[in-house]
Amino acid sequence: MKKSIYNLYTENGDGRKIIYNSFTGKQVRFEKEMEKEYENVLTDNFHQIRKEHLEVLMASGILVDVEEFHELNNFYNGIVFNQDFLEITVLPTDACNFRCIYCYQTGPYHKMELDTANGLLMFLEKNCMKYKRILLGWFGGEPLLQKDMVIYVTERVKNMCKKNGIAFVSRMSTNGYELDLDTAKSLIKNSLLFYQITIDGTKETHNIQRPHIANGDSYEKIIYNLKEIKNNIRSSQLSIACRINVSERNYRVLDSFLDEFKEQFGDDTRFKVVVEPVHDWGGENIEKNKDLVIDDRLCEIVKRFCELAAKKEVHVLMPMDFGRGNLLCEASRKNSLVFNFNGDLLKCTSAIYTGGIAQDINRIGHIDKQGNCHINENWEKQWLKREDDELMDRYGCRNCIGYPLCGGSSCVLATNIIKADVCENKQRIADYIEGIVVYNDLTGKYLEIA
Amino acid sequence: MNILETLEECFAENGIVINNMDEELELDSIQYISLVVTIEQKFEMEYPEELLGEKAILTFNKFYEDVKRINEIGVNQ
Ligand code: SF4
Ligand code: SF4
Repeated sequence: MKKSIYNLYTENGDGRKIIYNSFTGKQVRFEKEMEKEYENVLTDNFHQIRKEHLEVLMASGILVDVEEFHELNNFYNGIVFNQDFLEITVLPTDACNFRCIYCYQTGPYHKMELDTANGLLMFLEKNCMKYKRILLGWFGGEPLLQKDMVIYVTERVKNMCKKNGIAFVSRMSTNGYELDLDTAKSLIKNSLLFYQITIDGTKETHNIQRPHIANGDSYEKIIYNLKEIKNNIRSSQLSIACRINVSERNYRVLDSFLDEFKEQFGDDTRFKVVVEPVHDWGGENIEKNKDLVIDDRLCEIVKRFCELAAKKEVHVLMPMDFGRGNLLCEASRKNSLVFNFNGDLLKCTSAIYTGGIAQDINRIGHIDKQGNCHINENWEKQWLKREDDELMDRYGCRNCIGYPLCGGSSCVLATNIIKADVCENKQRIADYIEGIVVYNDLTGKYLEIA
Repeated sequence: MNILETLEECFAENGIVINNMDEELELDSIQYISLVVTIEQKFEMEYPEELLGEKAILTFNKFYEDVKRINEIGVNQ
């Protein structure tokens, strides 16, 4: 028996000791009179630990008798090279009806033509039976500027899957402005069930950070759309993640944002909040608004957000909520592709605008208008490289608390393509874990050693 | 079509093979969501949250009993 290498040792605001395990996502809290047991774990004094406590510690993965790294590595190889699963993220346009002050996209804008979309559908007609599950993503620009195309393609793919006995789900990142009730009904009927919609705080701060091109009050319209969906659509599997991009300018309204969210959506568990600090995502806009970027304060932001959300009983969605594999970058998986508005097949949505060699390697192929797929295997391989000891050693993945969640591939653009010196996600994941520990502690999601 | 046949159709549309009606189903998240959505759409109902909690053991029979019960008591009426 030994301690898991994926334990975080910490304590809560009352000084109670806590151990969180990122392999199982379980948390154990030691009551004050049981601190000795905590010490026994730290000092490997396992024979001194009471039997009933040992059971809790084993069940939560804090003490283990397996080689966790190898177990995880096999698991991740299985995901990366999984042949049953196809994920295609479609970018039907790079245009947008918002002018967010931190956005990396500035134009000129393009949109997908119908024959390009039909090329994708023909490709799927010819190949879908190879898969058992298909996940269709929509991203942009703002995908709902191409609403008819999104509905058309999603419906066709859903029917194809139904006919061939393939499980199918679709998801979308949208600003929510065009997600009126009729549109939502058409999409949800076709299994487009997961939405990420950004609401940057209160009406005042949202409208400053995320202005619509013509309507000075996009906030009202988005909230109206979401309330209509909440009140009129019955689907237990619908999931709406409302994301707040926290900047220096809206940090002060976190409290009010959560109060408003609770009042409007708090009684519906399908609606959750997601926190993300504004980051330098590239492009000209952020250059002019550098003061927005506060991701060096991620830990403080996430902890405060989680504390407020827990006290207000607001449902939070954290990056690690779906457990193992959830932080594995999509681009690292063989059957995960991005289909651009012009028919190009890409690996990473963020490498579209980087310029240089990364942008070239990102375009691993294309699908032509007859539905034939052409892939440059040499370039594809670079995104899929795994079990590379040099890479794992460079970033210290083996003992990283994030490894159970990302499998050493939290961002293959940074590690495999750009070959960055350090992994920026290491600290990021640790910061989110600190937040989730606070949230679990305040909402009673822990096992107790008492 | 009766409940049993409609439910079998839901499983088939998602490529989920039923070997034994009481055997625990090994579904990943996409299969699980896709199956529940298919059931909800075909039976025009919404699955109550408490029936699909983390601890629920998923078998064909569980879905069958749930759908029968929801239809009988009209949870969503
Ligand atoms: S160092 Fe980075 S890539 Fe490696 S396990 Fe940690 S978070 Fe993942
Ligand atoms: S490679 Fe990095 S930037 Fe690209 S999709 Fe993956 S995590 Fe995102």
